[in-house]
Amino acid sequence: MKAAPLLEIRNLSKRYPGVLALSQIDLAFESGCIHALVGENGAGKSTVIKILAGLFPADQGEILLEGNPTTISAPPEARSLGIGVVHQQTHLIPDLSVAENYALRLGYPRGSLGNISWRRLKSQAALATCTLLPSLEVSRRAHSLSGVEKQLVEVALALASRPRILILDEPTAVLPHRETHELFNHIRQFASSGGSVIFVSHRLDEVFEIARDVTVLRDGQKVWRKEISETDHHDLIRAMVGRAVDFRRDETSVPGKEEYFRALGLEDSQGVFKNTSFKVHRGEIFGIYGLVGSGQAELCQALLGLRKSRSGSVRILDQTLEDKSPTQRVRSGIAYVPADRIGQGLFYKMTVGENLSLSALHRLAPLGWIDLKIEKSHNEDQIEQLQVRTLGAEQSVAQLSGGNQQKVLLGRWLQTDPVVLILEEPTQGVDVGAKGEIHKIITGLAKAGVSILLISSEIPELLALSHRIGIMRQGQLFGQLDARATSEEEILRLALPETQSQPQTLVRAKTTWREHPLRTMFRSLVSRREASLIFFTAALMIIFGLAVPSFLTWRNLSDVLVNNSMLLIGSLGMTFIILAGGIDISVGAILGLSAVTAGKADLAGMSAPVIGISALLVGWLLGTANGLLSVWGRVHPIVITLASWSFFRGTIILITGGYWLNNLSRRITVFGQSKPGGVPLLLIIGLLVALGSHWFLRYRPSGRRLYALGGNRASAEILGIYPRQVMPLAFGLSGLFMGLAGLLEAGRFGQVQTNVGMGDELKFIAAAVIGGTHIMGGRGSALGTSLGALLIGIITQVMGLARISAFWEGVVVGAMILLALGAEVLLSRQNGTVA
Amino acid sequence: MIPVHRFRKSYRELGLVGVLGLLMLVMGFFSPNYSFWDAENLLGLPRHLAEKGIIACGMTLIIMTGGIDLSVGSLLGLAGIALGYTWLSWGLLPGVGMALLAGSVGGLINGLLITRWALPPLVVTLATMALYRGVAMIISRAQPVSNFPESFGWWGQGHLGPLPVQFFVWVLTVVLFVLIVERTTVGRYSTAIGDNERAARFAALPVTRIKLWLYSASGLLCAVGAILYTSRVSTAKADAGLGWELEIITAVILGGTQITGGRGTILGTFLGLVILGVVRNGLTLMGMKEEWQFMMAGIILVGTAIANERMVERAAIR
Repeated sequence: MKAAPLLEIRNLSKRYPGVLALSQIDLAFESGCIHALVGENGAGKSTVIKILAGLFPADQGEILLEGNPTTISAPPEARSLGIGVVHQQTHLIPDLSVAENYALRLGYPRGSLGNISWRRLKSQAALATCTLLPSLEVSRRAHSLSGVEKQLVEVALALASRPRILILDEPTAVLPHRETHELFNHIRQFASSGGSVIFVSHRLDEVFEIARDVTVLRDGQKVWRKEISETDHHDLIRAMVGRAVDFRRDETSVPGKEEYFRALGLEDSQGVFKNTSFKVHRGEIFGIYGLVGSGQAELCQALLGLRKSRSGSVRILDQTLEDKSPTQRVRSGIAYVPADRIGQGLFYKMTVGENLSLSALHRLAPLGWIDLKIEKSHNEDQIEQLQVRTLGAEQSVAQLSGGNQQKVLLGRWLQTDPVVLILEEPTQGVDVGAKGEIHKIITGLAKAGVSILLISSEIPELLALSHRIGIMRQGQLFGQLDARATSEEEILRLALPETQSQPQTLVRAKTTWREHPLRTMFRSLVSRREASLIFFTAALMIIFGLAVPSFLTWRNLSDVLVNNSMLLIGSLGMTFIILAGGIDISVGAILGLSAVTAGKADLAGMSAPVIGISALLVGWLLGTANGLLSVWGRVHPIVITLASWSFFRGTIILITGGYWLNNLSRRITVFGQSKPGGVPLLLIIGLLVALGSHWFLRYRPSGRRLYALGGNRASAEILGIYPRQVMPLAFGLSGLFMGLAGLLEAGRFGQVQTNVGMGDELKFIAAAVIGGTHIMGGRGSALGTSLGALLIGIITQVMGLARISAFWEGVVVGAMILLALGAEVLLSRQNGTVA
Repeated sequence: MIPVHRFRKSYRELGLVGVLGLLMLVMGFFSPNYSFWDAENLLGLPRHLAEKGIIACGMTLIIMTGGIDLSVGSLLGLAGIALGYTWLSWGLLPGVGMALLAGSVGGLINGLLITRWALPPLVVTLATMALYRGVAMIISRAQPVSNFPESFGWWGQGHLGPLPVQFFVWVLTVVLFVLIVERTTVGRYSTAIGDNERAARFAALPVTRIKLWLYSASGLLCAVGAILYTSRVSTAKADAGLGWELEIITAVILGGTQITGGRGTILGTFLGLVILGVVRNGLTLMGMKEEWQFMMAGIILVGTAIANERMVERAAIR
């Protein structure tokens, strides 16, 4: 008799627009049991997992943990309830190290003063990953890991949280044989010490190897649950598919002799697929089967010209397609219907008709002018032919069911009159009825003479439709099987990388000398970018010193540093916002308004501390307002800060009446002009702020969260880091810094002009970007920005000394931003990393 | 079920017309001596708005693709300077030609940086905003160029019937762009790109080419605006167009085009700009000081953007 379940799901339902993903599902998972969940694509497995992981709630039903009804409202909550999930796609933040990705899920170890102890983190992370990845250097950035390493890290992180329930969604999709074996050992160990495992996989061999029980899902419903010993492959497949492999082949479909399409020696520029060759004849359906990540999607993209190939040729009829852009390839007769119709296929703000005619629009509009009547009739014909269930071409495509959406996507490409049609998972997430209809369409096309490349992970579909079948395994295409002569078992066998006698070594994405330990140590102090900045700035100073004699004097240099303080502080504030993935173009106005506040406070006779606090407070409030408005209104910061720029500038004029604030007293100039112990206070404040920023960004979790959110928003949200927490903080902190800078500005000159701070936002952004802050967020440092600010400060100083007119400042700063951005793009392209 | 798109768009535009009508009543009522309703005042409105209106057409398309162009004001100034200084040496026609060239090249540079180098439009145009303004200042050494021939002034100061000349230029541009958005491939592709750029590439749309065209066209439109502006004030100055991007972007958003890209409406932008112009004019007549108008402009932009978002969300849920 089975023990009482550790985790139980009762009557769970979930509906997406147009699709019923789960329908009254009951599942039970006991401790000590490895329970496999199988089903075709779209059966509902991923939906169950996402609900258990806390990504979204079910519409209906209960989840019970040890008999107690539970709600799982967010991923961190799932973790704390003891549910560890390894998703199909990794959710590591690319620019952060493995160790830090560990910390984002399991917490940062704290040392003295509550600062992050990086040393302890490193050893904790290493401990967590050493069993699965013994030689992994945890300070490596996540983006430098290979697919295999990423997957194993995810498993290690899930296990590290000591869950009671471990959910694995296709964990072996990218793993070679030896690693799969080791993973299975770990899973067995986990189960035997009382944990419960939910194992989702398409690889039935593995299911039979590791699972004790298996549940089959089909079309959102549970078919049955059995012990693994009670079933076999055929039984499973039949349950998954719903009938004995029963797609009847259309034997009247016979391919012609002419070769319509040939790929020879295609090699992906990033190595995902190698030396791929095949040909497709007229009216032939060439099926390709491969496990996820074997390179099919990349191959398709390369064929359409969306992805670069290092070598090889593609011929369609008599034309070679090498240098052609996707637009040109479509005109040559290639069509590609991608698997991901949501992300890569349909336009959800457009109508059915607009989606249908889009790729063939150039035919209806030779000079750019669309003939609406012809478009309409083409669309109506198409809808009729494909039996798309819709209210008409005017309906929003988002309202259609999955199957009908797929037909629309297919229809769009059919309108281009293709010679070769590449179909990637054409019936994914499509209900049974529509599936049959789409199959008929595909066979009909072949009979009409279209060559079809059919990529599918459903073997029965491939067997029923294809004339020949190829297998894609780890980037290589081989085995041109006659579809009538082969079987599901044979195809699976060929597709699984299990017959290798040599254990495969882990393939690292980039094994570079950059990972040398000595260099890593140096790197931990100063990044390569910062080192080059220091070098560049020093060189520049020497050049300037030679060109402009008055530059290299102590007086001038200290002037530079002192004047630079405001720029430094403002740039650091801007850095926080950019790191988190935002932008604020009103910061100059915030600075100005804070300066005006301070000035007014002084003129009103307030004491120095009050003046200081009022400026800081105003800055902080305004910044936070920007952040809150952006989050609450769900409006992009650019719009909010464009508006607040105007608002704040107006307020400045309102308060000052258009007049400068002059003759400010000692109470305010003390901030900007005093020299305690001979050292200008401005310099001291600037230094303290820089050190404080560094400390915040490096040693406080709230600072690290900026990096996480900016690095990858989607992954950050899964980790429980939300814009609504982080953005107001970042904006508020920036505002605080602007307040300080404004105060110092007023204090430095003893007056406040009405255009104070105008245009400063550009300089702050420039300093941050030059200093290595990635404009889209996730990368940057206090040191880098400080160096950037110093560089800009020096250049503006020199321009002043050389009597270059102030107009050049805008040109120079603007040009510097563009150069810095461009350089970064060039560098990242060289590295092969994502910009 | 109602076909959602067509109706939603018409509702928006109808709503704007309604708001406009209401505002014209209100502004007129509250202006001293009802001066708002004076023919001279009303007919003078298009003069000031035409230049912005023309640029806003290009901005609408750019925002539809999910991009933005903050450098439009600077391009206007730069084109104006090009016009003025070329006129001084070579005559009016070359001057006009140079202005158009300067605008287009500036826009093209924006486009190249955004497409070839894949740099984010926001920061690029923020940088070129400063860059182009600086160049204009440097060339002109902040000295304006005046004393244009009277014939040139006709464009900016003359009438065709009761209406100012530039009104017709504006309306022509609006009509042209309405056609472009609704009836040409450019409009369709732009909507698709803004809806989902990745899918647009997968659909084999000429994404790069479209963006290059749009940013160049925007620059060209800025130049047209510069010509009209210079004609209107009889002066070419480097700080022309300062701060215009705020009002233009507000008009686009008020008109119903989403800042994130996708569907857009030229007519909406047109109405939005007129509304903003009416508000500004009315408030000025009422004696509201400029700083208050600055603040109002900010509030209108934020309010509009947030309201837009809410409406979109509600429509999606339904």
